[in-house]
Amino acid sequence: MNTNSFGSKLAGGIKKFLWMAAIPVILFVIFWVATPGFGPNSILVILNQSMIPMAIGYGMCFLMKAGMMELSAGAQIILIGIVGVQFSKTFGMPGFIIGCIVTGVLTGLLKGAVFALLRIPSMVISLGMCLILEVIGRWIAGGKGKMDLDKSLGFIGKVPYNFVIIAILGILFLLIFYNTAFGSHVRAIGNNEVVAKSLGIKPIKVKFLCYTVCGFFFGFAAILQVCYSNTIAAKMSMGSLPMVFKPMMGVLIGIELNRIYDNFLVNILVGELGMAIIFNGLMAAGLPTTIQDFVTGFFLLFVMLISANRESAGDAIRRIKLRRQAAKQEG
Amino acid sequence: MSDEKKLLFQAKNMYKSFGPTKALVDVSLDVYAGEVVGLIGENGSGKSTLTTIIARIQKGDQEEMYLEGQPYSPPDVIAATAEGICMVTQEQATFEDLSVAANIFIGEEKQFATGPVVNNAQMKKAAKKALENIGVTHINVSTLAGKLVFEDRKLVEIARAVYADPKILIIDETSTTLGKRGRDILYSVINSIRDSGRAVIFISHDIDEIMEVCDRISILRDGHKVAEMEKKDFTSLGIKRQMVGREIEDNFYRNDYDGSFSDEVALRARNLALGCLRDISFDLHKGEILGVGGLADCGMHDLGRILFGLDKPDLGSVETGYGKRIKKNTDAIKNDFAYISKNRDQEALFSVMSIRDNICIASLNKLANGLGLISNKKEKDLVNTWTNELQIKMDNMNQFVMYLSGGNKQKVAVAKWLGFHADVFILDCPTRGIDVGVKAAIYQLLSELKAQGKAIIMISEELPEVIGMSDRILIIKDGLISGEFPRNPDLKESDLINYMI
Ligand SMILES: Nc1ncnc2c1ncn2[C@@H]1O[C@H](COP(=O)(O)OP(=O)(O)OP(=O)(O)O)[C@@H](O)[C@H]1O
Ligand SMILES: [Mg+2]
Repeated sequence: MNTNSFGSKLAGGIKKFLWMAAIPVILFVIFWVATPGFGPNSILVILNQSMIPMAIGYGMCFLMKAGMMELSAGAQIILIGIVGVQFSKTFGMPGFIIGCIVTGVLTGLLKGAVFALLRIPSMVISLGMCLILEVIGRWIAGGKGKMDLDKSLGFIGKVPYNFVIIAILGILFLLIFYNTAFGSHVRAIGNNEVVAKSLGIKPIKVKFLCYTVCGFFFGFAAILQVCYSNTIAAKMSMGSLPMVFKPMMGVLIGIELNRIYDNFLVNILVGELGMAIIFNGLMAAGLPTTIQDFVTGFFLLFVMLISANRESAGDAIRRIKLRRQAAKQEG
Repeated sequence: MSDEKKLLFQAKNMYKSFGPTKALVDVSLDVYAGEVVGLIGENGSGKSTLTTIIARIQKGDQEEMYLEGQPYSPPDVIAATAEGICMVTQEQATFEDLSVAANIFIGEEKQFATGPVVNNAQMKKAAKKALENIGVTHINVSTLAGKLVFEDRKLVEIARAVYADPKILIIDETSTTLGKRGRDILYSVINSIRDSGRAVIFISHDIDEIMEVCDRISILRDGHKVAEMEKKDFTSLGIKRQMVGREIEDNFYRNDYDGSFSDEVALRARNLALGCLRDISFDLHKGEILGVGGLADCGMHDLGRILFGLDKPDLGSVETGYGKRIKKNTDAIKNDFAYISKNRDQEALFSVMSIRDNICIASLNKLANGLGLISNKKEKDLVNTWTNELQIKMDNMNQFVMYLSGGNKQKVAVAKWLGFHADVFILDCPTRGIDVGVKAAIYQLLSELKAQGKAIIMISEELPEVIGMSDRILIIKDGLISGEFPRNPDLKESDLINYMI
């Protein structure tokens, strides 16, 4: 009986996973059929485009699950990228990679420290830090406000190496989120901070760690970002803000999908891929680029609609069946 | 005899204030090995404050404690657990997004970790053992806690506290969240701790339960310790007198055995089926108090949600006396239905809103004038009426509900719907965690509501309450109504239990 229930549980898990996996597949097929310019040859573009938001999303997920708002991700990643490129000039590839990761962790520590010291809402911190990090980035970049990566180094964040980086990040994410005490504490705090505290969990410490872990993921995101076009430009006056929205959307979709399937790795991936497919599909259909934001917003609302009503839809179907049965028995 | 007992824990001269509220004033407590100490007192008398200080969930303003003769002052809960004191709190303390296993070992994950990586399979195995340890086999450790029924979530908390093998286990107002099965589990846990020479601090408002379970009690009133009693001196009247500071009647339920009500139907339930409920039909009449009893997972709590339109039944219908269908909870409110959920923290209260807002929220439409504006004075009057009637202990009406004691929170949930002037009351464990004095007041109010011709359905885990108050009792078992009993002075708990299991 034990093995049986294990077997059925496993089957249940696989079934849910297939449901999740079906979302991007179905979207893809719809556009494939509907749009002449869109097809298997778009797959690589879509995957390639999804890697940066995914790396940012996995990092942000820790903060957002602990109930915090994060708007300075863009500024942080630009700063990390600029420092990384600076290091690459003297130390080559190792300088670039290590420079990015270390700067990621350091900026994460900085944000965490500011949060732990000031204890003000994370929304305020993220706006303040956005401005500050932007200025620091601009200042390090100097002159043109733009830094170019040596052409010979850019390959490390391009196909196929970007997929390798995301695979590694994905495994790390899964491990940290589901297989460490820190991961459970993040979710517990997001659920009910007062109760978490009463069980001896220290919210400030956990949130500080969230910022740090998030910074580590952003280090990798910065590598991908710089390599995407072999250059990174400083932004001012919250010009970095738009970089945050796509990954944030992916995480929000992931959180929604979590009601159906408890695996953020897959859910965030589905969210980011889904958005990339719709965007590219519409582009291929000849719609202008400005439609991008519209589509992102629309997709988000669509996913929320489905997941919020999934149970009631299932219920409705079951109810109808049962009522029919009952009517038959009476008749 | 008492000289031979070994002193296990001692708290001396404990003080704690919250702003103007003196929650503890010079309270001391001794706990001996191999005993169950009861801690009782009215709502807001300081029981949870004292025990959460002992469990290190909070710190006292002044405190002096000894465990096995050694000074005891661990910095936090985890350290207290390590020293051997664990607590099952009054409020719900499981996380819905975490699995049962992760809930049981929250904060203690290290024991399954190599480096930072936790071995989930190993943790689940241990969680299964922790549950079996207290005799629970029906809960799957991989399920998210949010998917469990209320009683099972509390059992998970009990398993968590017991697994640490505490020298002293504190149980704060837990039995009222449990049905019969859960209580049996709780009592066997208590007995095994006592029998192994350790100790339990037990908090409850059920005097009969206290007299049954405890070897000794300490009584708190307004933050002061007013009495201690040994088991041989226990009398229900004596305990109540010490708690409240005045005589109160021993039998606080209705004393009439009339049991009559109007023929006019106020609510009609027909063939309801959902989840484990299979086919439930009954009429609720004006001027009737209809009691509903059963085991915690028999579906009776779901029945309350269905009647109020919160859950849609698979089959069947709910109608008002005039034949209006109740499909959504807005239909229910429009037809002057009121509903108090058993799950007060999640479903009945806004904890970071004021007492005033919580009480007025259901009645806002009724308080508004023609322009839709709400008069400040009317709002205050409403709040004052009910906070006085139910003796809600608070600093002022603008205090957040989260800072009230457990029983006072429940009173706010009750006040919200009493103030609403409903015609049909659906009450799910309405007196959960409320002290005897105010319970009597609530029963009195229910009798008055009955006299006014209101219809009341009272779902409850407390059989004495069901027997004491109802004109008619329905017992639910296996999703069906297994027994119906008219009001009768000879009706006993055992008569009902036979139909429950
Ligand atoms: N965090 C807090 N802030 C303000 N007041 C508080 C706080 N915690 C408790 N109090 C107040 O301290 C008093 C004692 O509360 P406590 O929770 O100890 O009562 P209790 O005996 O457990 O009551 P109940 O039977 O209702 O659970 C109450 O008046 C309560 O309002
Ligand atoms: Mg209490």
